[in-house]
Amino acid sequence: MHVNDKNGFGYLTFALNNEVDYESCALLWALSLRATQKLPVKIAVIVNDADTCRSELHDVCDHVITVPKRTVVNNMQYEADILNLTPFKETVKFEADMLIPCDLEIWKHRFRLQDLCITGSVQNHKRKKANDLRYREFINENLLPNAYNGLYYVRVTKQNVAFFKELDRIFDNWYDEIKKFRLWGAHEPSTDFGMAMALRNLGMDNCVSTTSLPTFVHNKKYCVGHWQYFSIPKPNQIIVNGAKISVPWHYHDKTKCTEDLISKYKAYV
Amino acid sequence: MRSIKRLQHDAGILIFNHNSHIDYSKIAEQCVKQVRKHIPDIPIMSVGEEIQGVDEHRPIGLPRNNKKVFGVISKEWHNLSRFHAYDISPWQSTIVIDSDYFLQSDQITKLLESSQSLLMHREWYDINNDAVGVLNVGKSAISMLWATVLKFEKTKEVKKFFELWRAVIENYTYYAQMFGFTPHIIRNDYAVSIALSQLMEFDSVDHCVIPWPIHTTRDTVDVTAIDHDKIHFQDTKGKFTVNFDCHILNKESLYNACK
Repeated sequence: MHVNDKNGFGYLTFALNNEVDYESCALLWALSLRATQKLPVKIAVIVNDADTCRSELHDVCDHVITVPKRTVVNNMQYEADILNLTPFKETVKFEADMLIPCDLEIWKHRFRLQDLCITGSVQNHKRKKANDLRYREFINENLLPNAYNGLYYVRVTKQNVAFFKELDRIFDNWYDEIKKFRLWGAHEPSTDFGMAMALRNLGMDNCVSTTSLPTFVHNKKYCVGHWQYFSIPKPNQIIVNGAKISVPWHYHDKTKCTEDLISKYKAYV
Repeated sequence: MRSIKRLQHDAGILIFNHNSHIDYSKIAEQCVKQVRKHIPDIPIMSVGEEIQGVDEHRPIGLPRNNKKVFGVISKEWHNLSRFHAYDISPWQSTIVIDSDYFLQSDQITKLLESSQSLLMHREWYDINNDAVGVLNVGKSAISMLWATVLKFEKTKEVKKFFELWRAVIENYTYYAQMFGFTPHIIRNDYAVSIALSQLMEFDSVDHCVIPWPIHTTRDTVDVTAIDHDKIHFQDTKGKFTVNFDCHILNKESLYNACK
């Protein structure tokens, strides 16, 4: 999509189904956005095929976009196409397996301080900065920016176009590119590490936020510890292990996205 | 002599006292003396068995049985009546303190100066290890609040908090299963933490936290003597004294020191 055809501010996610049903996750994510944002928002979802995808996506999202297929190392590489695919001039990209319990309107003020604003730290259930070193050894060892592609803001600019082009190039040449860094042998192509390398190559480390926003609760074991129970009495009340989640929740375990939960959210939209 | 100055200001100290294998009344009596010494203008009320030297007393029967490990032996322990404090207290502002919380200063009066309707400690200062920490309620993400010092005012929300506290005690096994802690010994600390979390819909409780840690000596530290202005302790490494408000976990030695 040409930049002249893009409009306004909106939220976007990728739901490229493979053995995992990302479309259902994306539907739940879109419902959670609709249920918790005080002002009307625009939502877009990128799917394998807009004609055959889960039909409710068309009801809940403003844009359901088919990804133009091309040769990629894995589906994560399509992240590099975001500026072509997004219908918005300003896009907030979320992972599909996230739920939004809070109004994000105020976050815009933080996002708009930069053309590209990538999450740089995540929270545990206690609303504290999570210790993510276990999953970030590659980034930490190489002193790369701690990029989380799970949530970022991007505006269509020349610099950002160059950034995603560089990300695409890194994916294409992953096994050569990663050899330039320590601990290269153990890491398969991934968006977080690819973004971190692209940012470093282009001198854009400052696009990774060092402030407490944007952020999300990253539900990986070593970030949040052992937990068993969660409850969602209302869309703005996600309670995990006895703590209310007050920022987006990256639940990570796709089995949490059930038809029951989707039905529950539908009742609020 | 009965204190009346603070009665006019509608604030007081409430101490629950039920004897078990230890004569807690002896400990509570010393606790009252410490309160008198450091905050003489504030009335004190005992609940349960009467404590010598208090201004008011409310007899109540023994609460539901509970157990606590003293040293290595599990013994009966009657600590499950404190959720009655809201109904019992005659004051608008009340501080409930455990009888093993010994004042060495008037710092606690700052709680009464606060307009916050509910206050408890979250950070604890381990006197031996010189470290401040926060405990969790079992395996949950709920930070444990200490029921040892509890300031409350009579408001609708606080009344609800006490109802929730009672409900947690009555359904303790359920919460133990949910939050991953043992159901065999009922801890008021866990119960108040869960109750406050529920009251706040599991959101932050930072505004209900006393902004300094509760100074605590572990079970392994013996009390050897108590003066009005300092407490003498002894552990495997030697002797020491403290001159600040102190929560003492070793009840047997505390009892012996109070004799």
